[in-house]
Amino acid sequence: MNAKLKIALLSMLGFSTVACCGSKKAGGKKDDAQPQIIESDSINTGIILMYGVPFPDGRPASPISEEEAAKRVEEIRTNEAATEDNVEVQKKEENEEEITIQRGPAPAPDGTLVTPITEEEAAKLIEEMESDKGKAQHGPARLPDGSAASTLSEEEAAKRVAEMEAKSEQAQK
Amino acid sequence: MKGQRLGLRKQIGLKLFNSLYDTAVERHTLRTLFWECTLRCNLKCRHCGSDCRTDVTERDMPLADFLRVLDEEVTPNIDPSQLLIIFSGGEVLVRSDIEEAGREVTRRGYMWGMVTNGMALSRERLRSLVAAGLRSISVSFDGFEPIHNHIRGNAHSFERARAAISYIREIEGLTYDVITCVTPALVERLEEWKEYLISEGITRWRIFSIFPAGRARHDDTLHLNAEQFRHLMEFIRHTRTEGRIDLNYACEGFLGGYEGEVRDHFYMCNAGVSVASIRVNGDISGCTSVRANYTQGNIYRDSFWQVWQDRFEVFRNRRWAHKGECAECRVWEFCRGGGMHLRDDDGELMYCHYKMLK
Ligand code: SF4
Ligand code: SF4
Repeated sequence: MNAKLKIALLSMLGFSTVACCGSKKAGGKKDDAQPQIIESDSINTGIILMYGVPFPDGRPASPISEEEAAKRVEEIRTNEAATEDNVEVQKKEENEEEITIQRGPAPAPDGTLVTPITEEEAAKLIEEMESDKGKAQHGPARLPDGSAASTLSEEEAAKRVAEMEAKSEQAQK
Repeated sequence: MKGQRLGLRKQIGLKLFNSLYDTAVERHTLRTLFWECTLRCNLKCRHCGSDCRTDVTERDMPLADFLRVLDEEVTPNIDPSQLLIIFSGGEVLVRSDIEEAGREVTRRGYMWGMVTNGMALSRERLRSLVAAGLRSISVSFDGFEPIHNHIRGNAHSFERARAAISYIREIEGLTYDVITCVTPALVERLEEWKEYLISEGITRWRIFSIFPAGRARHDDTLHLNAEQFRHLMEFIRHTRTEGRIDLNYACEGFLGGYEGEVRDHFYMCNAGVSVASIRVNGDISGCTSVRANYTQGNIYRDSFWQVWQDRFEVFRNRRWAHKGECAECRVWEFCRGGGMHLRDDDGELMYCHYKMLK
């Protein structure tokens, strides 16, 4: 399975492996800059070290006036007040849903937004891809065949993943 | 609470991420280079130097020595526009030639950034740093005034950090974040602290915690107990779902059920994989948080590039860490023995984040 596919799968599972080159505005929202997909060796750029600094975005820095800066903070505060209701709704949803996708879907390698899929769909998808290739692949093993992932206990799921990995390794030999 | 439990979705994600990590290790593309340009500092923070790794009487590294490494070893081997150079300390701003250093690395096509406590960051100084090409800056901001000043050991440190952040906000396009080292005094007030940061217009926030080692070992005002640590994880997870401020827990360690929920990425120790550092005495290592024992060479003796390419085995192949409690650990596959900074001089594990989540 190549890196792009793995990144796409991670995105579909609701996990981000990308570093965004657009700076983030107040309220945690990204601005209009297109998120940039960083491939395998560069999953690193989004990772924040204990004593590091965030990776810069694409723009050079330039000063704005003190007044403009104060105005922007004021805007943030006003937006905050306006979105309080939304936050309440979000809080409620969060309690209701066990799996919370962080910050919405991550972009796919072609830049399009990927709609998160369920665990079952992901399991099916991985299995399809594996059987398409007709041979065992290096890397993450196939998921339990046929049975719905959600009906498995954690232990059982882990056991089956391990079994698949062992088979995969054997097939490679 | 999520605790240690890893759901199936997360296990699949971690397995996928694991294989991407293997590729990253294989390629070990250098993306971040720390230049520890000084160990001098204008503060005496309680947690600083907790790894007791270096002598603070060490003189600053001359800029020319660092530039020589860039010119002879780094620039010929990489695309400078893809490498972030981080000036680190001590407190970087005690050096008077930071602007010159910034201009020189910018002229060579590199991005650069720095971490500061804000004490010496006036509006004018910041603007001259920006003119010298500064692209990213992080400011330490550890909680409300008494908490911050207690940790930083200076009665004016809170006000200075706050002012520094306000100057930073005046710069369009400058990437920044605020770093909070969460201590027991702050842990119960995290919600309040978050509201304060948001009201100050801060959009990006990073949290880390201190583990009991070195100077910090016997200071109970610094480290979180298991319950406080879990509270912190819950707080970060919840804050990220709100989407009001962009919050991340630093790389540090594997977080079990919180993986994928308290950071933008899964746990990964990049030291020696994509991160290198040149220490003030010329030592070459992974990230600056790692102890001196893991030094891989010295720029005054060795070729930096050869060291980066051919050594660093201890960072890139963590099988050696599969001992003690890690040997028995059911999440070894995803954690690989934790961050390099969590290993003592003998390679023994000093702290396990995952265990704190029991
Ligand atoms: S015991 Fe070791 S491998 Fe397991 S979680 Fe802790 S540091 Fe990681
Ligand atoms: S050594 Fe620690 S701080 Fe450095 S990259 Fe690894 S986990 Fe992060």
